[in-house]
Amino acid sequence: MTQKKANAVLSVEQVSKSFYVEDEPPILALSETDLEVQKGEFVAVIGPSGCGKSTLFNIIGGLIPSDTGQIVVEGKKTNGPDKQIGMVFQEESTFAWRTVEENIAFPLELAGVPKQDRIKQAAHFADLVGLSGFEKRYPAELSGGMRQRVALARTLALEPQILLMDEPFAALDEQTRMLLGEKITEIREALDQTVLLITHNITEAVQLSDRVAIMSFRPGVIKRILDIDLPRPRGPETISSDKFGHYVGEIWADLREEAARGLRESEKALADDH
Amino acid sequence: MLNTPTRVRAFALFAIWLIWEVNAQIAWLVPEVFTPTSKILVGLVEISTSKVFYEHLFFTILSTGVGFLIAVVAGTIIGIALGAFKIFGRALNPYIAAFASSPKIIFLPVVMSFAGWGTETKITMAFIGAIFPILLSAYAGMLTINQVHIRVAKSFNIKWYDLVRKVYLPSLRHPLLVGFRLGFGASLVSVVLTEAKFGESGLGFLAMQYYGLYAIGKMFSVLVILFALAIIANFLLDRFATRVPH
Amino acid sequence: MTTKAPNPATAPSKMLKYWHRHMSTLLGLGIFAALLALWETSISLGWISKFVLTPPSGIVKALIKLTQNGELTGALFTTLSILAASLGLAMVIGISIGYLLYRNQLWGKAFEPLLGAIFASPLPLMFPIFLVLFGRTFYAIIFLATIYGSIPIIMNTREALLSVRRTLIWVGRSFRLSETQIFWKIIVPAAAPLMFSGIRMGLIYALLGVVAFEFLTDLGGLGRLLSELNYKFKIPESFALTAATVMLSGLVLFITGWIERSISNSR
Repeated sequence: MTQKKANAVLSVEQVSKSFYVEDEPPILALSETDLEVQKGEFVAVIGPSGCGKSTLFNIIGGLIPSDTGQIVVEGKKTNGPDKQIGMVFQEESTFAWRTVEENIAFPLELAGVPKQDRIKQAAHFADLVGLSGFEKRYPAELSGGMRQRVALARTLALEPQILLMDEPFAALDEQTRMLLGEKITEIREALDQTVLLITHNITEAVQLSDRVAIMSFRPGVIKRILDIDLPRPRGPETISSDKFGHYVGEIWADLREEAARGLRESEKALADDH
Repeated sequence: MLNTPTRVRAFALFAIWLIWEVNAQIAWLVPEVFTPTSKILVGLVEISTSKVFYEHLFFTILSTGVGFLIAVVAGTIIGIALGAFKIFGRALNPYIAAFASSPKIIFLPVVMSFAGWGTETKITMAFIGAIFPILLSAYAGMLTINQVHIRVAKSFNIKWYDLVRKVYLPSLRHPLLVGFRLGFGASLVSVVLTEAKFGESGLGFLAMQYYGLYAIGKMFSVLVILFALAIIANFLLDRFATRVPH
Repeated sequence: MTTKAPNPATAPSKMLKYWHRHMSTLLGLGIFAALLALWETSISLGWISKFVLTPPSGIVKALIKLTQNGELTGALFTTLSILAASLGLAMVIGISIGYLLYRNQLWGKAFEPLLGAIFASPLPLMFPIFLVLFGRTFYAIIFLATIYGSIPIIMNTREALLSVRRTLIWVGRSFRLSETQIFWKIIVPAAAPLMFSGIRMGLIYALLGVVAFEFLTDLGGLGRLLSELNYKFKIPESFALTAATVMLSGLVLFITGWIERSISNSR
């Protein structure tokens, strides 16, 4: 499925990555992966465990280098973490020693924004993620979902063009997940951002995105990209519609094969170890 | 070449010894302290062949051992009790901690007022030195026991002595061992320091005698033996604890 | 999207914990007061001679006397000065070496067990060596107390820095922070509570070393005063000083514990 390269705000071009473990043959995590994301799109990348999604996330975010290929943002090749990309991590990432306000203001502080303005802007983003009134609290006083919202607000503070998220809702319960997913869609519209979401949750992918890229098991490549042609906003009626189920089914059919392969590989690895 | 932790360690220890020995031989820095290894070894041999030494050794080991053993029993029991009745544990913890972090030597005048100048005082000091690490380790260990085990056992109407034997003690094996090792070191220190200050017998007294006579080589030998004692005791405690079934 | 207060399940148990905490404090005070009362009455009823065991009333009187004639305050000042110097040095040495052992993984892994072994060994027994090295001077005390106190600081500093979660460092990298910025703005604050824990331990061990050495060598401070009072058979005064020293340790423990809790409260 080819798109015009001209409009792509982010493109992953021929990216490969191998990992070297002592005394074992190198593991090819990603093999010449390609992906293009248009401006303003919401793209989900879905795949079984071990398919290299997190590796892809780290490479796009500039945290680790790829072996081959490149990441291009707005026509320019990236060299490390790019200013236009904001990352939200899966694990707990808020700074426990700073208040909500200070967490969100962290990138602003580093950019040299004066204190009064920082506080105002932090309050604005706290409100955007639905944490108005909690600015002076510490992360330890908040629930897991609220802490992820703080992390999100912190990433949004510099208003990056592209939001890159690695299973940010994985540790949360289903309902919080869905509500936060809706929140992200709202924010994206408000800030006119492009979102690339790595996930393993099919429902979430279909609910939130314009396109879903399905990754194969190791070595990871983008197997197929599915256009999600559903109207927005996507509420409960959308989720219970036939079309929704159809998309989920298609994705699962593809994923199932890969997930099964993944399971077989890990069982084999366990057997080999004995 | 120096690419594993073990090699680095070995090299570092060797380097320290080398600096010591070189300095001792060329008598550059404070020669009285940096006695050559050969002299220390000679001192060791001399000491180990003197009857007097063994008398002193006996006194030190006796006081330390007795005080330590009493502390083992008392500390374990009290620690378990405080852990089992948590309200008391929490209530008394600050006071115990204050005593535990005080230098134990300050209790010497108090103890001497009761027990005089002899062996009883040393045994009491050994006890005071050992009781706190043992008690606190036992208490801390009790706090980490999974409450579910305890509730399950109690739901079977378990008798208290079985609860202790079958639920508490197995979980406490490791913390108690740590407590015993720290405790033995502390009791040895208490006894030796007491001997150094007020003793007429024991290795602490002997070391101070040599210091007074400026026989630094022999003094070092005594210290080496004391450290060796601590290491042996540690080793034995480790072995003993892993053999005991409950 | 609602922004309700967090998990209601935590609210009632917070209250229970508050009550519990105060209950045990009261119980502790109660037991302590009861023991003091027992102590006092056993002397006044003649069960134990007051020459063997000074009653609490006697201790208080002696403490007042010692404070009034300046002996206690003078000794306290000396001990605290030596302690401050030792702790200061221990912190400088401890944090630097702890940092080095954190940066250099090989050395860190090599020396950590060594440090553990030294710490668990009867280190105070080395005091004659320091006497010979420095003579009967205050430097001997400072040296011993510094070494004794810096070991827990080294070990805890290294562990604290190592314990900072990788994710936090990645957050810093994703915001394009330099390594120096990441160190000061993320790693140090994240490691602070555990590092302080080490400093607290270092302080306690340094105090231990200082007073013990003072007592053994009669050089000065609380230890020397205790030794002198004991030598002169001034029983109530020596009991009083012992009590004062325990209270000092308790105070140090309490204050540092409070600081530790307030650093951790925001977590």
